[in-house]
Amino acid sequence: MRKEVPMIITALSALAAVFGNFFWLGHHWGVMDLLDNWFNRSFAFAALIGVINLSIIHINAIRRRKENWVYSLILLIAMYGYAILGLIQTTDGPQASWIYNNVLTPLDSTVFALLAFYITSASYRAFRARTVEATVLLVTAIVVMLGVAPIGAVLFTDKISSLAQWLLNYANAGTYRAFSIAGSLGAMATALRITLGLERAHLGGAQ
Amino acid sequence: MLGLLLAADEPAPVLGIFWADATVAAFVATVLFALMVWYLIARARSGLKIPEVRKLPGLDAFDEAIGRATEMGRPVHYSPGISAVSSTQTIASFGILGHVAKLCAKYDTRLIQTNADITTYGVAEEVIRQAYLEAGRPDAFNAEDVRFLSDWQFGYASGVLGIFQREKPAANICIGAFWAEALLFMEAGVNQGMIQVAGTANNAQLPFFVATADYALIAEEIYAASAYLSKEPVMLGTVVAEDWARIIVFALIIVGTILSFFQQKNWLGGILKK
Amino acid sequence: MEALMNIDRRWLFLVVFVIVFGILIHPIGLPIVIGPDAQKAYDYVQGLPAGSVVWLGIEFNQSSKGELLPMVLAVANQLFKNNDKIVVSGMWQYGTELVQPYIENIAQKYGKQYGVDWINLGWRPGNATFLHQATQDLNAACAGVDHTGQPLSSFPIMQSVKALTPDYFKLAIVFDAGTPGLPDAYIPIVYEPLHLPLLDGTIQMSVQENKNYLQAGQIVAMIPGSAGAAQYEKLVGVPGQALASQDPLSLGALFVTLLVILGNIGYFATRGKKA
Repeated sequence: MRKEVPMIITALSALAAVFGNFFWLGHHWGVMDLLDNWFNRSFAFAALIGVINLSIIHINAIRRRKENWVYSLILLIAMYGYAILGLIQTTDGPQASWIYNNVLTPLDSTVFALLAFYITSASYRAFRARTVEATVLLVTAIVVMLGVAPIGAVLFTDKISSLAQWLLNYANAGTYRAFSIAGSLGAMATALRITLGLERAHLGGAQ
Repeated sequence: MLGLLLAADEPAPVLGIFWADATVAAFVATVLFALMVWYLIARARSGLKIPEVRKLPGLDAFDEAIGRATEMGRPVHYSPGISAVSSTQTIASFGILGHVAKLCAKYDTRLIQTNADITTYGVAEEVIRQAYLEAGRPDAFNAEDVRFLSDWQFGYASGVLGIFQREKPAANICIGAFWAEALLFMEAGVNQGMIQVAGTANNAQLPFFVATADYALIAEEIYAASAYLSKEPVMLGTVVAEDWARIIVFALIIVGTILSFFQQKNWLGGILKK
Repeated sequence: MEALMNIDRRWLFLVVFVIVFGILIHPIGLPIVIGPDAQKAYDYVQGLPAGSVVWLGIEFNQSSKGELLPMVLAVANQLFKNNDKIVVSGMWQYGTELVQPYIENIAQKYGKQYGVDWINLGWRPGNATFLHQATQDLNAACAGVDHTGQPLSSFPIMQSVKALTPDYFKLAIVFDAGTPGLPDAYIPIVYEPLHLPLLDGTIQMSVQENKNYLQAGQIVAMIPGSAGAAQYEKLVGVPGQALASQDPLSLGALFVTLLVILGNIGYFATRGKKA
């Protein structure tokens, strides 16, 4: 029963999704809205589990004075502090907004900005003309990179921008679509396996 | 009956039952695909031969990655991406997670599994616990190594980078739906000399995985992986159906291209001029 | 020569930092060539009849602010300049709050009044569910209030805008950085059943994916990444952050090219030796 009940729920939900997505009546009855609402509500409830997990791990780290336990303390203060602040004045409140704009935003942007550095080191390491294919990839990458940046036109006339656009619109778009189609078919096959109860890994244990 | 239900501002049903033009083609495609899957499952169940599925090179890499971590006495890190459990990529990732967890249990190697979504956290814990149980090592399972870090994309990313710094895994496995954090994880892994296996069906991130991982599972390979690992003919049948569908789509593209070519005005004149 | 293949990454990081920081302080002002995508997007918005109501879907948060906020501001400038009306909303938490002060400033610049010429409906939870409800009844989807909790019935603009459909809107401009966004929400919920024209402004990473929808005719035009944003700023005549970011982008691309060349020189030199 431990696996059968979730499998039945999954199959019924899948059928409801097909009914809600494709058929007029399902759409009129708002089947998808209902399913989405259930998902959102269960998601909100699951948030509690996340908070409990974080609390257990970090309270244990503090209690056992594990290495870097101070960070665990900071995490707990930030998590519960911001939650309490949000409950008192909502997330749009002056202090909550200040923390969001002046702490979270710069932190988030900083981590995102790391990509600029990592792209540089990854490109330097990866683009080596080891084979013919790798050479084609390398030359194409340079043309596109310079072609979409203003400096390409300055150094090599507008032709490099046109060449980059051609590569993006035809060579790359075609390949991209091949991956998209193949990926979508794979996703459909997985969805069918889940609906039919063949794919059971997410219920715990082997297939 | 539909007329009675039809509100003034609601579009009328297409062909009497469908709710929009686009859903007709999608429904037909879904039914056709389901029929192919059903046929191949039926063949496999009745013991008839189904076409063979090619070996995915990335899959052997799991043994190599976990083997290396075992030799070095360091942990393995596993990320299922940042999507919720409702994503098919995430579900496909769980099939691989079960396999990886079993190998870790077998080799007695610590597995650190991180989550950016609360819904994946609970499922991942269950998958890993069950894998340890099936490997006969329930005692080795440590619930504290299955972690929910943050549902904020870059909060999760910095959490993982922190784990890389502090706990120094020897192997990093990232399979699932990834976005901008993909390169952050992989490049940090390269810098720490980790052996890395990565896969996603998010096309924009594939170049980063291919450039930085030791082994990459490309697009639909992550979906085929769990079927391949199960070695069950019924599961493999669905992968074959996927290939058949691909051939049909390919044929449709060719037919569409030819038709659109002949539909172009004065195509013959254009050729004769040349 | 082998050293060229193994430059310490910390040096690379330092040079990238110096380039970006240095050029931001002392811009070179490289010429910006207008690409066909940005031009098409600009022309489409210019072609809207005056007084059109346009939906601005803010489907990003602060991590994509660098690329997408300049687009939002350039588009808002263009719309207010053309006397069009704006309805701001979105499925990404904090997205609409992020753009609020900037749009407020632009509205003031053009003498536009909140609640009459534009409104911010705020972020609403539920992702696709919210968008779907918005196509049926905006008032219900937003629980009857704007982003500050004021009743929608008190705003004149909402008297003529009831739902996200072609009956009330001439265009929906989606600024998207991922999911939920254009492919998974706006195309299946807004374009396919209702055929409300969509225009997409997206991050460079998603340009290739979203271009498929442009070529398939499901979106009318797109503003591609930070380069597209800079071109749009130039077209509208409001130079801002995107134009300023083009010099570092160019020099960064040039530096990466140089590194790739150096790495390959090292590779070929050492390969020759080993042979």
